[in-house]
Amino acid sequence: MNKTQFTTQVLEAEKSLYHIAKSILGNDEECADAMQNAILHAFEKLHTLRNEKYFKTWLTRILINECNHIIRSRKEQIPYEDYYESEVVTEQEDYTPVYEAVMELEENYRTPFVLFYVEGFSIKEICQILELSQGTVKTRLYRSRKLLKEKLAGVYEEYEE
Amino acid sequence: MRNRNWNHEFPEVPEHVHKIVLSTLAELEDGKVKKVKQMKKGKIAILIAAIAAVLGMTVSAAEIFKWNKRAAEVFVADEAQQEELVAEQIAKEEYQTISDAGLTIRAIQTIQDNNCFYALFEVVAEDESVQITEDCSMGVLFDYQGEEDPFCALSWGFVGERQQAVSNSRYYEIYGTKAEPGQEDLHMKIQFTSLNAPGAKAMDGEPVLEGKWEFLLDLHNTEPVRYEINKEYQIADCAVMVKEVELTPISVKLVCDLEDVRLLEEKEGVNLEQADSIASLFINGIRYQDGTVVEEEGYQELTVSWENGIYTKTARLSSVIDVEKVSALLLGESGDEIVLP
Repeated sequence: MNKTQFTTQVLEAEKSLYHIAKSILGNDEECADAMQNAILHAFEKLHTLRNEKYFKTWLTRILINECNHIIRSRKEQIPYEDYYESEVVTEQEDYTPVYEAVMELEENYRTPFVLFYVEGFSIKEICQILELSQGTVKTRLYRSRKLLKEKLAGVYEEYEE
Repeated sequence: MRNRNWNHEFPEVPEHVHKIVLSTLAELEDGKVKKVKQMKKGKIAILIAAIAAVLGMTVSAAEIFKWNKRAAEVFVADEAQQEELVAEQIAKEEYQTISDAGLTIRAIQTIQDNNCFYALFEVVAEDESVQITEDCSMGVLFDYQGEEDPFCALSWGFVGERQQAVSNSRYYEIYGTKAEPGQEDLHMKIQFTSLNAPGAKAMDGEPVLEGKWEFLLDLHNTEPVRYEINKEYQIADCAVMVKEVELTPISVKLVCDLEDVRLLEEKEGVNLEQADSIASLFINGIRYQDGTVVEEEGYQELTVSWENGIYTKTARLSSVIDVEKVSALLLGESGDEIVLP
């Protein structure tokens, strides 16, 4: 894969990368940091990518690790829920109730949910990205669905069944 | 539920984030990959901060990584075995590079199971006149983030001149022996504090470069293949009850009846209490189901313990094995066989 192909593939994945970073970090400034570092590291390590068809999975894994690093680096460790609420207020964006409900899920459930339902990764790919067994991923998806249905019961009838 | 267009519920990429992505990609086009420190104020010391990109779990993931050549030499693993170990999450490629004080340290790869740990780094001095030899050392601190130290032995150092010509860069390795029972999912912080000149009589020399290079590596266990044996074998002409054998691709655990092992101890004239080894229990090779014998070159005993009537030893294998195809362990110089069910 040359630089042009790399650039093309990153841009194709950009929205997906942003959604994933956003779901983990919550604020745009850190999302930009995480995406920038992930792109740089991926480019530097491009020679270690054996099969180009795994590019997006590989880049996503790098991105998630960068997000985790940013979380660890936050000087004041505060619960994600508190952090997210403060960021929502700060950024003052009009998020949909569904997005807000997803973001209220615990991180264990939120990331698999976003990867599967929002970004369309397969269970197998999510296992690779999150280093989890298929059973664990399926369980987390099941629980996240259940939690979301509860959260959204009053918003969308389709979740009430 | 998956039919719903969840993607539309999530916000679009903001313009300022998109611009950062574009400018980052433009830097790549200009061949300025390492401009992070100029683009990100306040992170001068860090060219590339900690990223532990770890892929594993499945065979398809295993196709993604190539092992470092040095790591492949240390573990004597062919390409298929390398892929297998990535798939089993025993081998992981690390993506952490930190520069400070004119020295760049890169965490390259870790290899570990329940019994042993190996980490490979590369240390590069920007000043080409700085010669890093095997007699140089690094000031290094280990921290387990409030958890108990999982190692009963840890050693580290630069690789020898035989493996690498002297220059301004050299591989640096950390070998660990995990205590029983190994803890799950620990983070190990490794902080390098200096590059030291060669010292006298194996002591660290004076610091050549001082700085802070901090890495965070994951420690975890892997599920071994466990055989309940509970059968008496003739080892060095003594009847020894072998209770259990555990195998991973890189290490082996042997559990025997202590009373029987005491017979071997007496026969060899050694003393376990004085840390002597029992040569007839050295794992000197394995036999595969097709009859092929792989001899151990440089037996590396990790731990030996004896309590409650049980003798347990662990050893790192000198080359990666195919666990599923092993039919027997070969013990001692006479190659006494412990047949696996």
